Amino acid sequence: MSRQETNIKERQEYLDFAKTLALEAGEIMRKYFLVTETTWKSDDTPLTQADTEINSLVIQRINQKYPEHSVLAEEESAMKASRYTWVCDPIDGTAPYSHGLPISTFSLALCDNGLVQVGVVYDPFMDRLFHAQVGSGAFCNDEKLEVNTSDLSRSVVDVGVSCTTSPLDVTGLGVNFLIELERRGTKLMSFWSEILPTCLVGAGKFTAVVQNGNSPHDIAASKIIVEEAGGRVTDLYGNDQLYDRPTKGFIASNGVVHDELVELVKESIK
Amino acid sequence: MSKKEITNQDYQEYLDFAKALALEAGEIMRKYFGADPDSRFKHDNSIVTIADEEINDLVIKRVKQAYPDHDIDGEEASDQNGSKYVWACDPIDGTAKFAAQLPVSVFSLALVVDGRPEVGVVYAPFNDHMYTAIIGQGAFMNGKPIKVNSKKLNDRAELNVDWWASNERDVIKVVREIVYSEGTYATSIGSTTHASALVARGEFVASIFPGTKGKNVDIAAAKVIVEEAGGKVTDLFGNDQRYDQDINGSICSNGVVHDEIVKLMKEMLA
Repeated sequence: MSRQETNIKERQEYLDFAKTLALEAGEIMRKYFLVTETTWKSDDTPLTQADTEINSLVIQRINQKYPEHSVLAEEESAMKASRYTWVCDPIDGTAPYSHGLPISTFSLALCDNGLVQVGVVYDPFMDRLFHAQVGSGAFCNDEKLEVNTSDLSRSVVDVGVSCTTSPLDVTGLGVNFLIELERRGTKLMSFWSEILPTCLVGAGKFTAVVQNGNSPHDIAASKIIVEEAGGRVTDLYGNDQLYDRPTKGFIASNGVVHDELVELVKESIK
Repeated sequence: MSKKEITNQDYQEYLDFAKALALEAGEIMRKYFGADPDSRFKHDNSIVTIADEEINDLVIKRVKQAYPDHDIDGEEASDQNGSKYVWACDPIDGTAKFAAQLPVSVFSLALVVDGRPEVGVVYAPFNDHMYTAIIGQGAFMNGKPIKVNSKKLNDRAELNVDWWASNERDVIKVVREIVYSEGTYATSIGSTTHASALVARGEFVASIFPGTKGKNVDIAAAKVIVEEAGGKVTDLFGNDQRYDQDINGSICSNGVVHDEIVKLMKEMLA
């Protein structure tokens, strides 16, 4: 295959495919909501029937439609020698899902040599379909998204925490990072899962999300949504990175506060 | 007013009144969810929304109509005349999440009699979960009995902790100790009242809350709901407390893990 850019017609087709798949996944999430049994994975994180079923569906659908593409998903992957990789989190926020809290999402992105081309995040409980493709803007359902223009004071920043460790340690940034943010007037939040808050950076509700972690499926789809809404996404140190392989955390912001957050992270980590 | 016993019929009437009010409040929350602009920062850097104020006003109006001799203790506004009957209300617990369009917030209302919550309602409008309890008559969600789980801290247990970098008590120190020594999962769903209801429903083993000033309204309804579901609710150090005035934090638990958490609080924070 000759080396060429994914063109806009192809991207639109990929996006339509991803949106259809997201709505199917949402059906499954609603079907098992509050009736699902939780099991535990070897890394001590929870797994539900819905995770497994959605992951299988994603692999099956992609194999049918794009047999040469790879699938990198949280529960099960199907990797091939392809420049195209679909990066998927079947349910971001399995823990709240298992407790009957309506705050989990489905997330799917297509990477071309590691660069995100299209991204879709679906919240099946409030029926919000976030989507974007390179160069064409970001949307929630049909509404165009735009980041806010706040600085760190009087703005809401989400710092990723995990359900498996204690909130302040898991940032890997230490308590001082959080105290310093509060000192600058930032309203801090922590949330179970970062994909929905990251989409809400795109919607202008959050000013930034900071997460220390290495899972590309936690950020691939929402990265393009934030960028197409006018924001900026890098690794924790302010560098660009590829999204079809382990990541070095991420900062997703409105752009205005980005460099300041990168500086704060660097000071906290050294 | 003469000292008279509250009859079962009175209790049922109070509960029906509180449930009807909760449904009205839920309507308002759904109406404003996603509306823009709907929030502003308060002096203490917390966030208040139009929905908070509208619900608070509604509660004051409805209580004055139905029970003109009762007091109202609301998070945003109150009406107090020294009655031993106090309706303690948090119009939206988890306002910041609500303003950020994350649907985890709840309405909370309790009838506190001489400092003791005797009727409680917590309503989660985004998944339509209505938690209710009358003292001595059990706890319910959507009309079905609920009860706490019987897990110990090291039994794949999950607990909720509310934290902010500048909070009054460094409960994170204690939570970190529990996470490391017992393997308990710690999370923070963003509404301490909702998390406490999840203790009552057997999802979490405990919910730890460091709030003090004006924060009795966050816990008053949860206190009677969790205890009627078989759990235990005290301040951070294991003492019973009044819910018509400031509190000294709270621990809502399944009962099984309560003493262990209290012991650590005393050792590490006293």
